[in-house]
Amino acid sequence: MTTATIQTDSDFFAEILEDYYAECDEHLTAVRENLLSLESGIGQKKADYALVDDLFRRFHSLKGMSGMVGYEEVAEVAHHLESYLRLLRKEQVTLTAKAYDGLLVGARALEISLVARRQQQQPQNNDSVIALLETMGSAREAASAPGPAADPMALSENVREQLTAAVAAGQRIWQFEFEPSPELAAKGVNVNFIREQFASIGQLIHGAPNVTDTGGISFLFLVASKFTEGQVAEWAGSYLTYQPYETAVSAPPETIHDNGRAPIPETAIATPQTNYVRVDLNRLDDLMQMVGELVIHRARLEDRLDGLRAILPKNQWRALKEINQAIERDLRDLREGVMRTRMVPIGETFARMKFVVRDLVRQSGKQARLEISGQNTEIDKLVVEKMMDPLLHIVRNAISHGLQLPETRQAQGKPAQGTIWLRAKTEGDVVIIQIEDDGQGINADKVAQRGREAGLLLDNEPVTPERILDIICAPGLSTKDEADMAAGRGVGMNVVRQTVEQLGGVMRLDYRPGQGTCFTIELPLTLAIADALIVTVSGQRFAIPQAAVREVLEVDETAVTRFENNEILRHRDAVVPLLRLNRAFCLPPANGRAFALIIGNGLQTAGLVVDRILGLREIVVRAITDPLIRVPGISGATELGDGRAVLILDGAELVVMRNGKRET
Amino acid sequence: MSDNQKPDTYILFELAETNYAVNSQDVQQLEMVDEFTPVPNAPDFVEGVVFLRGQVIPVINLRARFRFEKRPFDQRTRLVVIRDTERVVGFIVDTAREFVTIPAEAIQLPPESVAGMSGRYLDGIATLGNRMILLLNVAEVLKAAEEIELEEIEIEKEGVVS
Repeated sequence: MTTATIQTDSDFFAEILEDYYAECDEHLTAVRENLLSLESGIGQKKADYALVDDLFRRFHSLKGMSGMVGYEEVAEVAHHLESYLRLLRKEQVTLTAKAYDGLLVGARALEISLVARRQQQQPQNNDSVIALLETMGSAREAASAPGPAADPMALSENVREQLTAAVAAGQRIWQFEFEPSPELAAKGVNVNFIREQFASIGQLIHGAPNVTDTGGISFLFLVASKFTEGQVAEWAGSYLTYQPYETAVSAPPETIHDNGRAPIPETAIATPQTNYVRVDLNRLDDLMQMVGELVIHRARLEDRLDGLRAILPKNQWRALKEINQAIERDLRDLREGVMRTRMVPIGETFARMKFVVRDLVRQSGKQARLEISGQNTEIDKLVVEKMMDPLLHIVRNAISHGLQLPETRQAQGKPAQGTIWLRAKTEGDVVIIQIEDDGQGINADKVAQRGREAGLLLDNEPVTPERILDIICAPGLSTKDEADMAAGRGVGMNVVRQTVEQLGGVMRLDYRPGQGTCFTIELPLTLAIADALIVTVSGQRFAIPQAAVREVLEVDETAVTRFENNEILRHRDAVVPLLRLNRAFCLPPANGRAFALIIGNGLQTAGLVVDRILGLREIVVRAITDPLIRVPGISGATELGDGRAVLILDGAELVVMRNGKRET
Repeated sequence: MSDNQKPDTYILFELAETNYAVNSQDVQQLEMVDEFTPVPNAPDFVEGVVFLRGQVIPVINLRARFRFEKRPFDQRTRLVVIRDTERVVGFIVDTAREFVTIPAEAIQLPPESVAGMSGRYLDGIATLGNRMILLLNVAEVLKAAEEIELEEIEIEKEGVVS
């Protein structure tokens, strides 16, 4: 809503938002955990104080943070949740099942609203959720209190701690306001400039965008400084307005500071020490890209070395070769190391399944509990994200199709409550995830029958679990009406399998009639991931690692000089030899525009000519191992989500191919 | 059947009006024929590559490989995915529908007259009812596939010399 007016400061705003989403994620993860634990407190006179208190604080933080970035629909829901928990915390109400559901609905609404915001969709309309929350306890009364939701200076606890610490260290806190304008921007005075300037007077602790009374945008900053008011006035000049900021005022009413003393900065020191740092995934990708470039440089070095073999004394050449090999080994380790920093524990994903199970159990009239093990197993961040939906699907299937109704189970001598096990573990280079249920298993005869009808199973072919898996994962085949709400949502088993395989993993199936079903998914611990340009040559798609491409330019055929078999493109002050990929690959020429991907350096420069650039994609690189398809210029293959293989171009090798052609 | 012997079950497929069989142990799966990604500068009997179970595997057009006339794919065309030790490759065949048991006594060695070039691809010839079935030696077909280019070059050379 406000983003359009602050384009000049969009970088700063984007940065704030990144932090905001990351923090919201952390809070919501904890909220989910806590809510599940809170369920046992339904109907109890006294709910678990620690849980309630933690939930209260987290909703409070979510409210403040969301107000700060102007996401009112999030802030308001958080506000109502907070209000109810305040009552609960003071034991003015008892947690009822209805209220508990309300909390779940509210938490879910927060999650959905944040996803919508993150994906830059229309802000979620949470009116109905809010109406529901208002009916809980006497939340209405609490809601009339001025909520800091609209206050851009609503502060997270972390910031508050920093402020108290600064005050304790004898500094004063000043609030500055900066209103950007095109005139100032022309002089180079924008919000980032201002941010940098604060370093000269003290420490910038907090910054937030603010909507001014006139509807414009300004930025508010809290700065801890040893400057006197006079010094601040002089320093602030004409760009900034300022006022002293009282820390005690900003503290939430719940904070204990009743004995007249300013809160001692103990909290700042007592910040729990963890060994974790939060890193933007993009930075890791940058590192990965640099590693990729190093790999390419080393390959070139090796080429050069091989060329020198005849010229250099044998022992010297061998010494160089050994160094080169050492670099190769180190690069492999470095790559591995960077990949490992992308790993996150799978526990959070598993925790979400608890919610799914809870929801489904409610809708289906079945009884189920979730047994989780190995939640600390670490797995690549991208893999976790991609596997979320497939895991959800299998868990949903387990409840919808696997587990029977309590009566049926009891009649079969099983406990009325079914169990679903979610397990994860690492074995060597593989992460193994298992989803098992103690339901009715799979009706292999029925599935086989459908498989035979569809021609997926041969006449007389024995029915094995692998074949059953093939059949249930075949597109368009399902053994039960998937129209029921749970299983019909999201992805089918064919997408589950496709995702697993796209990530380089494999799936296995085990079942015993009447006893249960178990899916085992094996995924590689680390992935070879690269950003790649997707291009077409004579209509066929190819991928080329972005790291290998220095520049992309449209080929102006009039600027191409031809002599003998060579084509040279004038570009800037240099000339670039062209390699037309359709010729190199014996594909028919395409009419229309052509683009050159400039790869390599110096004498090794070349322009690969392609027809179209389709875009930039993150790809999972698969090696091509079979000798029948190991051809020069192709380093591997990937898949872009449609199940079709796309070949990956090997820039360095193509340059060599080009040069080889020139020599003959 | 001893431990290191293969089972006596086979998957039957048809190629140019002839019945072939591959041992069921060597077959990883059967697939409908979808689109393949052509690989530039690969041998001409390699139709392309395909993603299967997370692996990039070559697809061999068995008609082209055995120098039969190629024909367009249809509803009956199948991709027989073969696993030979570490390698996985796909064979395109005209059709594959049957899973049969061929007892060892029904299998004869290929007669001397089909030995040589094509003989080495066969493990034997079986008679089942009134059908004659050629038992394919998968390992040899694959091994030879790599050598074929070399062979072709040599044949060309011989042609020049004679």
